[in-house]
Amino acid sequence: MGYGDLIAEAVRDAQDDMSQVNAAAQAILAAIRSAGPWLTDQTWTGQAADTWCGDWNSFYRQIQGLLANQLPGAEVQVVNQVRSQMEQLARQHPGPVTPS
Amino acid sequence: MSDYAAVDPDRVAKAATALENLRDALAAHVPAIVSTMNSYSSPVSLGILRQAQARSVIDAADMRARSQLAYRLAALDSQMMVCPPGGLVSIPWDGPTVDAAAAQADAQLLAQAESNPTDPQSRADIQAVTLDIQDHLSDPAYLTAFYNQAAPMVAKLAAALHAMDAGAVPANYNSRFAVLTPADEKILTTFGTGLAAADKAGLSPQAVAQIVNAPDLWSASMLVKFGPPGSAYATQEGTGAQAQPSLLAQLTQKVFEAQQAGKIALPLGGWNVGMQDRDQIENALSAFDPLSALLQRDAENKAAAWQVLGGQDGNALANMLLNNPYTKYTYSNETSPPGSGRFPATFTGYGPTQKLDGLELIYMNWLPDQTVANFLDAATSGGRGTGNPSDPVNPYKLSAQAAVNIIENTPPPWSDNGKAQPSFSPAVTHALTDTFLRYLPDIAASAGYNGKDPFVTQYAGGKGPWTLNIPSGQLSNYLMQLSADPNNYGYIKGAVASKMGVAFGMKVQGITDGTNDDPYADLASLYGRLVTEENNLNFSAAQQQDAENAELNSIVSFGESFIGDIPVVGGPANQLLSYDQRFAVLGIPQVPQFSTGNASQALQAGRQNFTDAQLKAMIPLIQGLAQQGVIKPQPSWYQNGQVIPNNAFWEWWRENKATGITNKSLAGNPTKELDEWYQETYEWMKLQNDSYAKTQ
Repeated sequence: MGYGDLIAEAVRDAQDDMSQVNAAAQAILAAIRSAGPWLTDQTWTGQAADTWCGDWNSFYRQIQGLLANQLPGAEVQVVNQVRSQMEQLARQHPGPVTPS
Repeated sequence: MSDYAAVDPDRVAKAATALENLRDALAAHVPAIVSTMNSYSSPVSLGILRQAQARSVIDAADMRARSQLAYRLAALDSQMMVCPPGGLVSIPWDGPTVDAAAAQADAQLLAQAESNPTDPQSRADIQAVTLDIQDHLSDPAYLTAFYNQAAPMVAKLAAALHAMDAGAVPANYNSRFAVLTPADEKILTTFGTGLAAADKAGLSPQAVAQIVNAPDLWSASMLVKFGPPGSAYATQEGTGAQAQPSLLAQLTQKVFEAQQAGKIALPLGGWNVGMQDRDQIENALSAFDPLSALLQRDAENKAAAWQVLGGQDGNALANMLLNNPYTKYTYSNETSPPGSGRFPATFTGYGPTQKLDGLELIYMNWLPDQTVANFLDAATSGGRGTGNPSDPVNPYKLSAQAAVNIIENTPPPWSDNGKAQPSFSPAVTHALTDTFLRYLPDIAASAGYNGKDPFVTQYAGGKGPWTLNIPSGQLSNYLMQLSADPNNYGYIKGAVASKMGVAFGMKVQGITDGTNDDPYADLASLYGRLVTEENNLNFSAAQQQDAENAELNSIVSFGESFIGDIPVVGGPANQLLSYDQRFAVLGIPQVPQFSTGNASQALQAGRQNFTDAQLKAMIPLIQGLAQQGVIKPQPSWYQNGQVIPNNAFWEWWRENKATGITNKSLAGNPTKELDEWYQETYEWMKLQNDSYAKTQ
């Protein structure tokens, strides 16, 4: 097995992991979106309810921002980082890879 | 005051479901996201996901509580609670206030359901309240709020459930005997469990009063019957000088009084009955009898048992339980008017003294023997102590009073051809024996009390532990009852002898006062009295031998069992034991098992050199002296606190019986030889009259 194969395998593993992270994030985002329509002034009226609802929306906007925007970027970053680390390893240790 | 919101119940329910889905999604996926990303040194912070996971649990629970409250209020026929426009319901928004409002709504819903038993919705409403209680079983705030408001309705729940189904016109013969359906019983289990938890958390005095003074005490008792074990309830209501007996104890007392007065109504009936129905009726009466259920729960609670049996009705209850071993009380559903053929919808429980007119159908009810035994045993298990003088539910005082009531009401054994036979099952006899062992020093001292009435009092002029005093003449029935079984007779004699040895060791060490207060002499005299009782028992030769073996086995075994409880006294400065300590040593609430191994073997050896009568005095004395360090026993004949009366012991005795033993309890510390102490003890124990004075 050469370094090329090892790099490809490590990158593939990272991509698989990130794919699962992405699926999990999508499931959470779907659940948040499903809750939204019920948490409105059609369901209740009153200052305490409105305050609670505002707080809930504000908090889950952060979660949505994390899952929908920051996390995908981080997933790409993770894959790239794995690739570059493996390539750096190959440069530091030229020659054939000995099977363990 | 919490802020209120006007809510649409259906939409709030959907919001609750959506938040529960979100909670589940976060629980399922956040750990995987965080774990995976962190394994790659995540370039973004994921802490907020953990926050969301925690917050979602609270959000979902709060929204579900609001939803349940909104539905509950919408279901209530109360204009005050419903916002007219658009069917919106006004509810408090904050969590704790939602709980309180839910408790209030549940109480109202229960009341509404019970007042409309024929409305099919009522059953569903009760089921909804049941589910809400189930959801809040670990929420004391909700439970106390609910039961404080709903106590009267909770107390009549069993009767209401009966009226809704089982009490309706019987569809067939067999269903006539169903007092409650399995579904009813399940509901009562939940309500009973909630009641116990609320009671432990602290019910209001008003709520307790509403339950124990309920108009339908049968119904209130069914909460206890189908609820959790008695240990789940409080052991008293309130604290300090305001303390009252526990809810269980108060309810038991009220049920007993009502039953004695013919005021317990068990809802089984309403239809013509005949002789062919007797078995099924008796089974149903027994299964739904309130007093037996309460006594069992009292026994499990323990405090309730001594509060009842040591309380104002304790003597009457002991009389019923002990003086009437088979028929405790009766039930009847007399036609009204007599002979009319019209039977009422209930059976009435009557006490043994109730006068009936002879026209009614009588059904016997006897309490389960094990229940009676458990109750009696628990009632005297309060322990020895002083407690707080101003405590209205002092466990030591009530436990001692319970023991007095038991002893006073124990009948003599039956007589069969002149031979005494135990009146009770082994379980009840065991309970009576436990009481004997717990109050052994008192009973021994009572042998010299010639007053008219029994009483409990605090030792040492109101400073010491609670003790009991029984007129000597009133002890006979109790002692004979305990002695009617040969094995038990031998066992209690062994216990007395062993304790006598302990008292002897304490006396010569000066721990007990040798003049005014001499448990050693009292116990030796009690032993003598038991020897005298033997003449009334007319045991056969085989029974005598059983008693003999049991006694000697237990003398040796008690030495081992009690050793850990004996205070080993050092110098004179620390010889003063508290009264509680002294009584603890002399009355230990533990019943050791009969020894069948080492003790038996030891006795076989002992019988080669000593008569049984000699061993009965000698072993306890030597054990008492060894336990106090007055003599130094040799490992060849003293192991694990047991005297092994083997040849080595015999040799030791021959060589040391002239050893002087100083009596530090008397002024001047007079000394007597060991053999003189032994001879004196032998005489006090009346062993010269013992049928085993000669070597067997």
